[in-house]
Amino acid sequence: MELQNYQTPAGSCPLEEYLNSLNEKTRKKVFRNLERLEREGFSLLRTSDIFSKITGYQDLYELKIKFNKMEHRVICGKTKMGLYTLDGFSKKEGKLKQKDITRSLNRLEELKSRNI
Amino acid sequence: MNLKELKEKLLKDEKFRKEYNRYDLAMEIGEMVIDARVKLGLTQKNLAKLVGTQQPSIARLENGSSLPSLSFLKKIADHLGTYLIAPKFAFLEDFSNQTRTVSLTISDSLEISALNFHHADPLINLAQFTTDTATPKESLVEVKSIIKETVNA
Repeated sequence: MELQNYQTPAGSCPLEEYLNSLNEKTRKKVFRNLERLEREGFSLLRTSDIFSKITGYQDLYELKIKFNKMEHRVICGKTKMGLYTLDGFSKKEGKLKQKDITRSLNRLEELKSRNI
Repeated sequence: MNLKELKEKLLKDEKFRKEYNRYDLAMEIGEMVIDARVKLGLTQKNLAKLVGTQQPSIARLENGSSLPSLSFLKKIADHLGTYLIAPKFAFLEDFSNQTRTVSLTISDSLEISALNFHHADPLINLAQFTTDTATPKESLVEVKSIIKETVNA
């Protein structure tokens, strides 16, 4: 499965910006897990506990990597063209905030409206 | 932009390129423990109880932030009903002229299948060949190039 990354209409990539905000070791850890997601696809839902569906939202998924006392999260959305990374952020343990979900949901809707 | 293109951009940062290419034993071990635990349907808490430790020490091990002791890994292996294979110094590995077995993922198999190489059944996930390359990753690249050469011949 090829993983695509959402780009804003202005051309910036939220995942790239997020990864560049991390130190090298954490960036490697998150990126290796993104490569794993690309390699193993949706089978990660049952073979690991790092990738899961976001409850209550049909096409939203979350890659959650615990590293150095933080949770590093990448939100992904499923479109008819495949899986897109929509956003990335790090936080201490806890539930996703509604504003984080809404931002990703808006990006997913935008992709879908572009017939992607 | 796909992940490969993003990787190319990220690797332009020399510090990150060095970190990305550095072999990280603690991270490899951590990922192995996660895979084993999930395959057996255990939570970190279950595994900790089985081994006689606390959940945070399993979390630390899986994080790959520090190297676990071999005796701790052996203890986990014993409790999972398996055993630990001895690690090796890389320079003692002689890869010349060995027949090696390389695992292909489904996407690799499909890529081979897309080359119209009919002997490479996408359902067959193992390929045996003779190699003088150094790592399984390089071996996989070699498998693909052998197949491409055969197809083009």
